[in-house]
Amino acid sequence: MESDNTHAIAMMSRDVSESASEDSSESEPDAFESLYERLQYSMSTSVFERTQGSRFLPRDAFEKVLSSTAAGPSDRRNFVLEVMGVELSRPSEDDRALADYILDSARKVFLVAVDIELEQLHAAMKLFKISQYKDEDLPVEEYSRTRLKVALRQNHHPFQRMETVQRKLRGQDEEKNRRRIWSLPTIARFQDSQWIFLAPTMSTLDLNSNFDHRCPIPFITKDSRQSSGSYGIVYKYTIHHAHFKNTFHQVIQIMAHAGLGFAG
Amino acid sequence: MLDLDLRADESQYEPEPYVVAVKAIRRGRGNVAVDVKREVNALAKINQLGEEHIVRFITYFRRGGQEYPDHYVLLEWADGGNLNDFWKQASKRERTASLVKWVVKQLHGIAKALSTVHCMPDGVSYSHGDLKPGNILWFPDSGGYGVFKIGDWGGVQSHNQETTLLEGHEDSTPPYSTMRYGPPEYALQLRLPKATRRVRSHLHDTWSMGCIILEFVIWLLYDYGELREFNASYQGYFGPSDQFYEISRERVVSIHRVVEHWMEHMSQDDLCRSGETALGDVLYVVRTGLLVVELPKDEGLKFQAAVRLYSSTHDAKQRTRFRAKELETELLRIAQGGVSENYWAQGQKSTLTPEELMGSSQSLGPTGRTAHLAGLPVPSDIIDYTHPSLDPEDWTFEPENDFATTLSPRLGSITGISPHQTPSSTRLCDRCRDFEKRLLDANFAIIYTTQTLRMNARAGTCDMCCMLWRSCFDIAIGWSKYQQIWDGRGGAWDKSVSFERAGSFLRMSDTKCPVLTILRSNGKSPL
Repeated sequence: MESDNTHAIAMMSRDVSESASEDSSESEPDAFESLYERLQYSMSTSVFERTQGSRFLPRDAFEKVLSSTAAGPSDRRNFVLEVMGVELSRPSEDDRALADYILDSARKVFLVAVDIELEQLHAAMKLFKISQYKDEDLPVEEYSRTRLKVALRQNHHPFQRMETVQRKLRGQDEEKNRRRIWSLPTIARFQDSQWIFLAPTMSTLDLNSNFDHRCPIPFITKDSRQSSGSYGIVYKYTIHHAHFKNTFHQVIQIMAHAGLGFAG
Repeated sequence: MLDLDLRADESQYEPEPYVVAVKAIRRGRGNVAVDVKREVNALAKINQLGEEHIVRFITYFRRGGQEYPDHYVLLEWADGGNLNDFWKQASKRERTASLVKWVVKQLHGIAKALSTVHCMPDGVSYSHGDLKPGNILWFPDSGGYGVFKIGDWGGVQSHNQETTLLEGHEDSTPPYSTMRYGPPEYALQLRLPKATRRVRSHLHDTWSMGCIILEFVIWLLYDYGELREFNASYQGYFGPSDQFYEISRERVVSIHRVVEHWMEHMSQDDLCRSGETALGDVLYVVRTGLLVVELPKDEGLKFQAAVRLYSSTHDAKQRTRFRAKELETELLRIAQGGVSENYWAQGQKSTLTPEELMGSSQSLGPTGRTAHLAGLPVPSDIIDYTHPSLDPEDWTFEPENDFATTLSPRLGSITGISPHQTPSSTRLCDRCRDFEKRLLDANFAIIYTTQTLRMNARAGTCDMCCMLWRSCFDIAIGWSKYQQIWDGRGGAWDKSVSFERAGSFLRMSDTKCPVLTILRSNGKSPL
């Protein structure tokens, strides 16, 4: 644990100087702009009756971006580092580990940060890595502005807390000239943007999904025809292909060998 | 929270469109969550059977609030629509031997699927409870006519086979199934006092199959137009009746005289003679095994005791209604029979449809079959004349345009103000302009932050926000948890509020009752 903290302090300390240079830079790195543009271009729009007009990023979109720009694992790593503005000539071990962490466990967290054009992207992703904040931790709890103000004042928001811990570890002197990554506007933007990356997958294996009302349902076409039965109204939709896991035959096999569960 | 992974394994996802039927479960009826759970469990179990003639269930999801979530069931999409659509679209097709063979094969497939569902391998079985042409879905294919599959299992009822064979099963499903294709015992039970234990057996489905098959025979023998004519002939012997049976004032149940009249007429047609043509044999099965009021003794006795029905005396030859297995066997026999092409091909035009039955002439009453269809007298003392209990949560709201059209001018003349007068100017914020633009969409939904509503309402900068905020307030008065919206105290409810269109009304998030009515001026767009 102690070594972890020491390691974390070292990483964050180095980031202070990097961050200063990142902040002073007038223009964003090309890779960032390229990724940002391609993400916007890849967005789909939900036509589901209750989330109509909500944008979502298909779950295969980032993979497509990676495949088209980076051939092997090291290229993928470099691409991610480049997006964060890291010099590729001599990436450190820590940066390589950070890129691997993003590619393995925090793709959505990373993309949300890109989507909201987070200024200190590199520093923010390091914070997430140190705190082991991963895709599976999304969505971050949504606070109203009023509640967020209070939470920030009391240092209760998880993003703010993870940043504060690191600032304390680094000491006050290093923090004097450093702007905070997480503030009311950046957290609010993260809260709003995260749903774009959380469109669920419809799976024949999961018969008990419960989706948040802010989750865009990945239906991309809707037929104007609808039929009404005794128990409901039937609509014709097309599910985005990347959001449909069709394992019907697998389901039959599994169910044939095990009891069916349905947690009401 | 969500099982998502942006690391797409391309092999898992085929880049082709996935067209699905999404059934949005109606709110405002009983315990929706329990009903949906029952349906989903049954659908998942039935999926295991891999039956070709049952619509494939894909998945189920809920979304929205914990208290009143929306429920959605995803099923495979039937490109052709349902059996009614088939009858309409294929109306002019020549009634060839291959068409008749295909129809019999499909009917046999459906009967086999029903038979399997009625008797599942693990001891629990299901009945559909709402079979009708609208729930027989058509999946056309490029090579032939396609496949019919049973859909909409919303009224599915699980049974324990050990008890079902003897006494049916207590019907816990809401009474929403279609009356027209339901059996007489279903209607009789609905007349019983609410507290009476109601049962539904698998024989409910075989009666419905009888209705559907009879309509199919009419379509094959004549045409879609004649089928519509048949369906419009609901002037029964004992008064108007939309079912395939009638119940007399003396509570005697018999086959509807129009149904009986058509069946008798068709059976005299050369193309529909029993033992000579496939159609004739199918019609015979309908008459003698499906549209039969009397139930098998092992299933019927306990069932009738449960609803306190009294069966009339029957002779030893009296027929009872088929189970699905018997129907399957009979249809298989027909499908495999008829080595002669004449058995299948119609080759000639059928005779005319039966003459319309007018009035209530005694001579046109139920035929000699009345003897073995003799009804089930229901003692009048068990008929419940009390009002059913009314639960406001179950109310449905219907637009009453005629009433509004009549009342509107009168109000105008009394008050001097026309209720349909459009305000000279309406101040709308950007969000409300979007509201206005999309409101005509039947599935309209919009989310506001309560902060925006509150600010715009208090500042008076948007008339629509004022009205919506007022609606929030009205709800808050009736529902304590919404109080937080109004006074802006913390918690989840102070963040956003959604308005969703439900017909001519707008509902607020997590409420069942409408909060606003959409008023459309005569000849003018809403708002």
